[in-house]
Amino acid sequence: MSKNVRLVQQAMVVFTLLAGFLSAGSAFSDKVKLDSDFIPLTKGRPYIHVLHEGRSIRVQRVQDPDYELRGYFAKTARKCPSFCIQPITPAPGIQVIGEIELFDFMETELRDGKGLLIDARTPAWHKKGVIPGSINIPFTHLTKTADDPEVLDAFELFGVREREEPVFYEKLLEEWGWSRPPYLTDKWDFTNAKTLVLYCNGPACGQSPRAIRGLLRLGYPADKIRYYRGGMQLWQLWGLTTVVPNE
Amino acid sequence: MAEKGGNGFFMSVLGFLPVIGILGFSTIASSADDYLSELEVEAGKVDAERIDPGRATDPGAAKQSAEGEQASQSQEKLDLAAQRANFESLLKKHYFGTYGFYRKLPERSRQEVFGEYRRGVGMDKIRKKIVSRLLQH
Repeated sequence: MSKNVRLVQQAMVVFTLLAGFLSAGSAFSDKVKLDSDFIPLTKGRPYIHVLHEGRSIRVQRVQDPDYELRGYFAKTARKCPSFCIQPITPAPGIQVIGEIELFDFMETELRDGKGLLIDARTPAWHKKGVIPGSINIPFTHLTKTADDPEVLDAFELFGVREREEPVFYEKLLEEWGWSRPPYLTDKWDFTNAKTLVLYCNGPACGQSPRAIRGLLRLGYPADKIRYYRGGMQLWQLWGLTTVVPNE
Repeated sequence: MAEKGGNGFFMSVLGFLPVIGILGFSTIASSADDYLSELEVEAGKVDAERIDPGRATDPGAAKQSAEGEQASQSQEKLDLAAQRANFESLLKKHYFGTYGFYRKLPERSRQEVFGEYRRGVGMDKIRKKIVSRLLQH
């Protein structure tokens, strides 16, 4: 008798789970129906909101199926050596990301103030249009020496602190190579440094790779730097929202 | 004699070292300057332009009939619904625990939380708001 009761209970559990799955499925299909003509950023993600110069900007794709990229970023030929195709990674250990990873970054670390999206181009480029949520720190600022005021300003913004003098035994252990706390260099403390995503004009742009190599030379940890290689060109190719600064 | 000649050669090379150094440095500096000036020239070819899909897809912005206005309103509603679905899936994906609390909130509080998200408030603050609203109920 008790065995039968248990069987019935198990059947009910299975039935309940099945009903749950089915209702979730129908809710999902309703959602899909709702946006059937809409071209989302990715499946299940129609837009994202990004804060840019104090305004909330909706990042989405162009919905016009006849939309074509025009202007400078539609061109394919670039002078080389100045604008050669760049390698996939600008330096060993740097994570290269695409659009989806950039959306994720915008919705998490950037929104929470734990990361920065950096347009590493010179101001002449920056003022023509940018990815929402980004700030301009030209690569020329990040390729200088550690005591340069522009580097110091940038590091302050990135949450980098000057390292406090270690006590003698810490120093000794470090000199012997027995202990080196993570994210510490002789001069800098990168423990609370923000995650940086750098971009420039696209795969044929050398500005953000230069900035990244400059940051690495200054000791910025490679695992806190990401490179959006697609840059402005691929961002616009997907018909994604751009903004003109101070407009 | 030969030794003296060798010394003379080394001395003359040493004498040229600063010149070689200066030449090398100026070559590097001028190539950096060249790159910067080429960047400036190239930037001059770009027109300031933004892509605004929201505005582009806004159905019939200025000259619209009552029908057009209705369509615009329903489009707006669809947009809001899609944005909210997006926000909820973000919560579910990255902050599953908070999503559970959010689900327990009454509709009014959920709308309030979503409004904060649309204004670009950070997720830390949004999560705190969800918890505080949950504690109020």
